[in-house]
Amino acid sequence: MIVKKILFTMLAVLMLGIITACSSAGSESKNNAEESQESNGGEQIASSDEALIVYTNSASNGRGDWLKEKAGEVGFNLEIVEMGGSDLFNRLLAEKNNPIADVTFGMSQMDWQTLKQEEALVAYEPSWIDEIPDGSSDSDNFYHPIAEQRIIMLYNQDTYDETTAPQDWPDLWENEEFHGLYHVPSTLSGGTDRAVIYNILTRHLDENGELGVSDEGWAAVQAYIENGYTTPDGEDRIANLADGTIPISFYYSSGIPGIEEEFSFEAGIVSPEIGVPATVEQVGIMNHGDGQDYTLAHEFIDWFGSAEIQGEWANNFGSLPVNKLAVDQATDRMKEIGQSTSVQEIDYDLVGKYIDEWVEKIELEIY
Amino acid sequence: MIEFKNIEIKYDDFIAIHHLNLEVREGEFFTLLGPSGCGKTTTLRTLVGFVEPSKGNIIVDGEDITSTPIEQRQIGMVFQSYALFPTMSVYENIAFGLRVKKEKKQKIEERVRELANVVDLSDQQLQKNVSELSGGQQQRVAIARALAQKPKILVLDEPLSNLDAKLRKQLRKELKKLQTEFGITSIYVTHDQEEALTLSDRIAVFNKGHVEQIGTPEEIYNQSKTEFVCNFIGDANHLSKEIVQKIVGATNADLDPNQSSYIRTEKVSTVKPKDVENVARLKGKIVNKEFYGNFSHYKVVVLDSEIICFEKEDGSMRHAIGDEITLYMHPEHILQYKEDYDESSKTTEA
Amino acid sequence: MSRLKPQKLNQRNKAHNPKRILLPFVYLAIAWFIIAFLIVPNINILMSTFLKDGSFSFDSIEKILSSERAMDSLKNSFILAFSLAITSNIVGIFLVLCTDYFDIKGAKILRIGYSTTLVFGGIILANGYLFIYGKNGFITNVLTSIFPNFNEEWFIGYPAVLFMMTFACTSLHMIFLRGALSNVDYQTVEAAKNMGASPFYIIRKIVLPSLLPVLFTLTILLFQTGLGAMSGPLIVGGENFQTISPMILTFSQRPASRDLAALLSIILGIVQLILLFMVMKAEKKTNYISGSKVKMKLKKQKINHPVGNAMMHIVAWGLFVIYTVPVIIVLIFSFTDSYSISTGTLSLSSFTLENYLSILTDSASYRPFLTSVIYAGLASIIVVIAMLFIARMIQKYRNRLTTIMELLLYIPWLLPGLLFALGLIITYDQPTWLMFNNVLTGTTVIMLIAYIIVNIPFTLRVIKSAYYSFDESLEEAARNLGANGFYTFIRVILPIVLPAALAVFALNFNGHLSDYDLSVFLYHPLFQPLGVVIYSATDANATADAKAISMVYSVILMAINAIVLYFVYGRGNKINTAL
Repeated sequence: MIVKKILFTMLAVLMLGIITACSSAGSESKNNAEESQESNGGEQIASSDEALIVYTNSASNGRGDWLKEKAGEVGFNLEIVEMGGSDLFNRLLAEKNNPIADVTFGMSQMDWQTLKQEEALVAYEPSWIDEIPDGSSDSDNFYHPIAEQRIIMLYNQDTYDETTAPQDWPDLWENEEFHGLYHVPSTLSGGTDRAVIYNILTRHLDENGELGVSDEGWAAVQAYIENGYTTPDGEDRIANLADGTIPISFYYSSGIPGIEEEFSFEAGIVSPEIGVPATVEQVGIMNHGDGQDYTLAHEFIDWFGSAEIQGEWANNFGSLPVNKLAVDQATDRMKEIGQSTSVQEIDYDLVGKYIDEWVEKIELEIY
Repeated sequence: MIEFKNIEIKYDDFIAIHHLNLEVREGEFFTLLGPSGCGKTTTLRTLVGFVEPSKGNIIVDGEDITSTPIEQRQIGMVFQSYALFPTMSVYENIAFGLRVKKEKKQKIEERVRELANVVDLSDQQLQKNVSELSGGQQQRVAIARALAQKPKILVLDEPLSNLDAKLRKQLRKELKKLQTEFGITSIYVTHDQEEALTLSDRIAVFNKGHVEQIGTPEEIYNQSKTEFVCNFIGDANHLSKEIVQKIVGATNADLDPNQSSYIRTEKVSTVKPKDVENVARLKGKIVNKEFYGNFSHYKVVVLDSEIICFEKEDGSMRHAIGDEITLYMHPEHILQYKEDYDESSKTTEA
Repeated sequence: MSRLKPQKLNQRNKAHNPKRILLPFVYLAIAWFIIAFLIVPNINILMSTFLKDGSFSFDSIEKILSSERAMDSLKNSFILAFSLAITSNIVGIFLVLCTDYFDIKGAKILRIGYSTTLVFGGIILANGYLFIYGKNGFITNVLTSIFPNFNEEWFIGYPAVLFMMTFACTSLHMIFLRGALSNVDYQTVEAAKNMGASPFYIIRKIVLPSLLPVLFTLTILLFQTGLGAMSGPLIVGGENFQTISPMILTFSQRPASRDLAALLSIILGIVQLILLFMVMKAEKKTNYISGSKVKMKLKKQKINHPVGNAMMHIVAWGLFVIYTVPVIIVLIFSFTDSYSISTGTLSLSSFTLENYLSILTDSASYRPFLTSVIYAGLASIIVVIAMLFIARMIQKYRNRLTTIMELLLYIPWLLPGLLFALGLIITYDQPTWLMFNNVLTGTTVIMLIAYIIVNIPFTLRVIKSAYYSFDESLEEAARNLGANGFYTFIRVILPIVLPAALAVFALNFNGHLSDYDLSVFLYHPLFQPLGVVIYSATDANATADAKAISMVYSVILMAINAIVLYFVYGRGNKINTAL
């Protein structure tokens, strides 16, 4: 009866595991709270050591750990849950009747717009509202901008120089010498990939066209996809960029220093005259109903969006903060990127209205 | 001891057993005999409790057990496939029923050894896995297992059908010996008439869901009540109308030529009997002969129909193919059956 | 001698047995489970996708029909499903013959090599293949050095996908087909030999026919795998051979396109349902009782023809190389830095232990392992126990009710995990009477429930087959010896089906351990499962050594999977599981 014994052993191990997991989970969070209160010499901001659950798609590369530690110093007991942008958005929508997260930051302004419409958010006016540019917040205060991500076309500097590199997106398909040499994403589920699409389509808006876009616009997107190199899964587009195999690609701004370090190269930056698309990461509070005490969430947002924290965040992780008082602390490379590119003017309400249908049409008919 | 009262068994619309009445006496070796699909196994399984009769009752020792759960019936069963538990050793297989009854370990040990001794299994074999045993040994294990709980009744479902002929004969003897030794009431299912005739105290011949005849082996053989039984048991010659008429003419016997008539092959004599008065003489021609050593087998054409008969060999080679021969038949040996009987309405009383 | 099975076994006995009174409650509980977890959430998600502004919208059908890409992908999926069912079966049969039927030198090592796919699959397997056959792969480099004009992008498209998946999908053969082969009565082989049959003829006429029931089921599973192929076509399919599953995943991730995802899933689902129904029909016909009798254990066959023998050895060991080299390469690369991994180059200086150290020394990283082991273990145990029970019911009480029940239990095969997870979330995010006024969304239970549900169909199939494979008179013998139903089950039946149950436990467990698709929506924020952690470590937006880290995680996962399999199959446990 060897098999039987094994089965029972496994069962026992599992049971043990559950017990230890539960107890360790409990004690761990407790310890964290205690620790932070003891070790912390600074002032306590958080009014309670209750866990605050924060969802984000912007916690990779140690950003989450850093934030958790930093917040712990002032008394916040953060539980940071990290996942990809579209997964995060889906989860928030699915949980809207019974949200788990207290606060969410990240995603793009369009995602937040949808969450607001779905009544998944509660309004709050943070203390740093005057430190961000006028009109950049949601008009009803449901969400507020934190950091800007510019979507930047990059090239390999061994292959091209400023003059031979493409000057704007349409060059890629209009100029035959770039054909097959630029990266095209294999799916359009990521926010960055979509930005490229609406950057092209919004140049050809036409109220009478299909989905608000003229025929030229659709032809442009088609030409863009057909003439590029669709990088398959399992192939690293950045490696392709770094070694010159596919010397033209694009990336979101705060990620650029990271890939440059990893692959030891410096990417050339394309700065179209029209500007580059920019998505803005926001922060907001999840709607737990009227009976909920939102004090802790308010305290966290006030602290998180402050010039001090946003500045340090920018300095450490290369973001472009929206908070005017924090901009100075951005890294040199970021400042360079920020200065060498301008933000493309895009009607995000319109993009938000159409983007899903655009992407669906492209996925069905063009790919 | 065991009584089947007006049992009817249905599978959906198909009636497997019609109106069965049967009684098995204490200590008897009772055989259910019949061709495939005649309902004999179904009857057995009804007794054991695997099949629920749609009508009727089963009574054991005066107690109605029709609704008694299988495990409380105290009937030991030997399965056609033996159904030995593949994950257990031989010892564990035999001890299974005793363990179920929560007998003391020592008592189980004793009983298993005792049974192993009876069915001739060595200590070494007891520790083996059942799949390591030969067919005959597996059969012994199955019997030992069925007897372990000292059941009131032992039932055996074609227990020898998976064995070769020689082993079958040997085990048949052992089986009979065991049954006589233990004196246990046994019900045996088989389609092999030889097995039935040699082993049984009494036999019930089944056909198409009902019992054709119940009786001792001799009764069944010599006084087959129905045409089916006559054909199923032993070898019989079908007699044509002409032959029967000839016999009637010769002996004045009370036989109806329009009925189906038979005579068992060994009852056809090639030697003139002492008392010739009531014997019909039929002349024929030998068309085939098979020599079996101690006897010979002739195919004789009489009045355009074939009759099979035997002759004891004394070495003189009296007849050859092509020879004219006279056959003697005693009208009393002729079995007659009405041809148009209605099967479904027939009931049988024990 | 009735071979008919009594429709109602001992009806009157039941009434007298107090346990039978519980039966209606058991039916009720199962009915509740099916309605609450298999029907309502799925209907909810389908309603919410097709119901727009209060009326049903079937735009999606037109959209799909007019989309060349969708139609092509669907076509490719079917092509892949059909061809994979053929090629994988051929290779799988050959593998099993090599390890268990023919006398091949080093069969034990071959067996380990052929079994690697049990622990090595999905993206990581595809990556392993790329290291060898891809643009910078070893084979490609060798070929280009011999033929300078050789197209280095040769490993692409339908042949590449089929090649990779053919070898990747033989893992079930290594479990179930081997089991079935060990059940073949050697006497039948000897008999055929005695009558002068050639080895090939014996395989064709004696061995294969007795493996047919298992091959039938494996074919269905291969067909499903082919239809649902994901990483294979994505990675080596190229532009001309993309399949439908990645499209479904993309669509289901976007609320606005979910109707398309649901529609495409339903199309695939219907095809699978038809197949499944055919199998169930065939199964009812072929349900025969096998007499146990005296079976002889299979003896390994020597190939007497020297050339044939040499050929068999070459092919067997050639396959061994195909199977093991990708694994070894992945193992080696897990000790290198991201640059080497991304470019597929190796140099002494690129070797590092840092990847392992960064994971193994991080105290936080053991938590996800523990979480996943517990979730996967609990779910697998619960589903196996439940299916042991339900399959038994289906076997014992064959009526319309249990047939419907069985069909309903196959629902999870019809919808992708993601849609189904969303269905659970939106259905139970508020108290409902169906859940006795409990909320499931956001609790630790919901992911466990989902893990259990997705495993129901496969587990049910395997365990049901196990029940049907043994001689029914065993049960009768036990009952006859006075054992009650429960005792019979525990002492006689369970030991016989346990190997199959353990096998399916191991497969389920390994499948869940690194699950991402289902987990990402359902996990409790405080208990992140491994798949989610790996994903966030390797997300396209994560930069620092993401690939290296993912490789290390994969290697550790392979190790855990291998340990589980060792416990089930190693140590000489006798497994003769047939499907």
